[in-house]
Amino acid sequence: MAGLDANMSKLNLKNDITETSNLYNHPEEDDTENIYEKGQSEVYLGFVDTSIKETDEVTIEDTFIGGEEIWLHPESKPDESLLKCGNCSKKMKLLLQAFTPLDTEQVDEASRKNKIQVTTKKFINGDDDRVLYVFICTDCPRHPKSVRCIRGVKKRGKTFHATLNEKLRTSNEEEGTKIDINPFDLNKLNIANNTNNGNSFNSNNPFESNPFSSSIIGQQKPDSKKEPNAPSAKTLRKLHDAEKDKNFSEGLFPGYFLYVERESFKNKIPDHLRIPDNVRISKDAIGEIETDDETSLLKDIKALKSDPRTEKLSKFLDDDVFQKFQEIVGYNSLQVLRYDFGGKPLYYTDTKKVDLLKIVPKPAFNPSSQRVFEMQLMPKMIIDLENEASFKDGMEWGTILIFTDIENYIPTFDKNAVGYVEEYVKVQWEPRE
Amino acid sequence: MSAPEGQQQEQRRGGFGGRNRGRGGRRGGGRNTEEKGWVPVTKLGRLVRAGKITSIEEIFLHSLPVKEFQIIDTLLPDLKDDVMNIKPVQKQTRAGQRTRFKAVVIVGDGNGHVGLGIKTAKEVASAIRAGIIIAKLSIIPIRRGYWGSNLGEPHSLATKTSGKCGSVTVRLIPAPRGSGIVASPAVKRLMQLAGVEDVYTSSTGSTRTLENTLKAAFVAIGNTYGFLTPNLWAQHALVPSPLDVYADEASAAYKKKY
Repeated sequence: MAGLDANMSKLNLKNDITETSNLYNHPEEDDTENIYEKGQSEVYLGFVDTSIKETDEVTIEDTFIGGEEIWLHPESKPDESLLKCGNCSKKMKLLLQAFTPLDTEQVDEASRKNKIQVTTKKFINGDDDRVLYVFICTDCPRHPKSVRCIRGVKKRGKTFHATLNEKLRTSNEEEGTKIDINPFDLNKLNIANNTNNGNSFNSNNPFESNPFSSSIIGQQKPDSKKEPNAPSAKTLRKLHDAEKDKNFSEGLFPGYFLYVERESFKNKIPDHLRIPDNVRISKDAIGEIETDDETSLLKDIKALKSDPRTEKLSKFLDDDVFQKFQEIVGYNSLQVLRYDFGGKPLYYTDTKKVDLLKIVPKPAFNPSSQRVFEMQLMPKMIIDLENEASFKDGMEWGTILIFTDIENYIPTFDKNAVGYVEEYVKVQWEPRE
Repeated sequence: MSAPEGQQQEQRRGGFGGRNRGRGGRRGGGRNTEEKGWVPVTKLGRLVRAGKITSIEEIFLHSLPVKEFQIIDTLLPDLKDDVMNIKPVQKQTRAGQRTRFKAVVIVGDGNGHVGLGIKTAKEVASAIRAGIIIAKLSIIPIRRGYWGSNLGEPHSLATKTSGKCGSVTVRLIPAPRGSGIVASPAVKRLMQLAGVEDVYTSSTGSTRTLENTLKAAFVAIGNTYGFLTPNLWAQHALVPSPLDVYADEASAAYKKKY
């Protein structure tokens, strides 16, 4: 590398190989550079936490991949036809269930970013339960209707979340004292984390239920993990890992809980953004500085264009979109989910021919509104869900983009205050030459 | 239940980041920071990672598109990267001249696989980096052969081949053992990385444009497998590509729709 340095200084060039902002500089992509400089983006990433065990009680407030869906109310299920593959009409498998409550702040931000006028905010309430279900049919690979997304919303009563917010606040203030075996503290803890009692909320009518009574139910069968002398996180994890994986019915994917973190570019620089150590630069590589003038450059381009095969090949080899995808994923390579309501999706394949954001249909159930990008599923998920990589049956999607109604409109709520609608899904399949 | 409270900095009632955040610790573990090297994002990558594909020849046989250079790194661990040329190229714009850098990179394992990558970027480092990636993705096999009798390992090429790019034509001619590579420095390095020991070359055209010379030489060595010598006349059954299994169904479904 010494020779390289010498050569670089000779040319008076920037040689900040390790600098994060120094990624491929596509002239039109200056905005991404800014993101890198800040070190953080507005995107939330989902990572696999641990597999779903037999003893785990999965609630609607969990975000997980694979396994079996949990509907917002055991008696309120979406229309059967929504759960069937649009091509072969077989029942689809759950890819992801994401707990994604929306608040007005997010919607305001999204409407500002996308320049969409929101006509009603009636359906936007941070306290409502809002869940996105993504299903896939593995029998119909590459079929546009083989992946579907359902958005479910469950309304919560005013009185309920007023108390809940209150509890949240107090429990946050009393963080330090939560170890005491005060039953009230435990209650608060229960509500704040909403792990055990989620089910009791489900079964009770939220308008009638008293949060205290329901949390007491939760307290009556205390989880061993909630003991005052709780063992350390590590041992807890080990204990949990030692348990048996939950077996889902035949044909379903194994289940994994996700945890969520903000995207950060502070991690180590991915391998492909570094120049390999064994690179050899020939002595005369930078010997002469010749400048191509316009005409010879044009000639080059013309020569390339003349042969459509070469052009296609060079486009395939130098795929900016895919490289950017790899690059950004490289910083957090274990991500399985990217969530950015109203943000910009990270494309897997080129969208120059068709601007995806422009062909997203308006929601048919609420035609005055528009759909915005909400989240996308990342291919690391396939590694987790498929036991074995195989040629024949492996899933082949590159990324699955989910677009949802910005107004969070639900046409009808049933007697359990639950409503489901289908949202728009765009799958970018792996390109095949 | 152990850690979540500590992580809830910006407590928001709503929002994905709000209510989901910090819940990760509920099962007792924090973030698993152990990144396990390469996480493939294509099916081919997953198959290579899982050890279902162990040699690059399988990929060549079915002409599978390689999108991730890590696939090549895994299958050909002994690759050498060589930056052959870096030069500034200028474009006249309204605001003045804009200088970018063009890097020409060759990678090869010295044993029958070689790739050529050319990339222009705003900075030298990124041009080199991208050039290496392109070179790896463009790796091709080389058919080596003998000049005279088939003794020992193949040392030269099986036939004369030629390639053209721009005005440059490069012709490769098999040479007897011990001749070495008779070529210009850049082409010589390309032949070394390709694993050809003895070869004569002849070139015409504006050979001082290194880029075109290398491209022409690259086309020429790519043509080594394009020439069907009599000993390759034996018929081979056509194995369907593993990725083609569903292609018929997919195209049928497509036709039905439109």
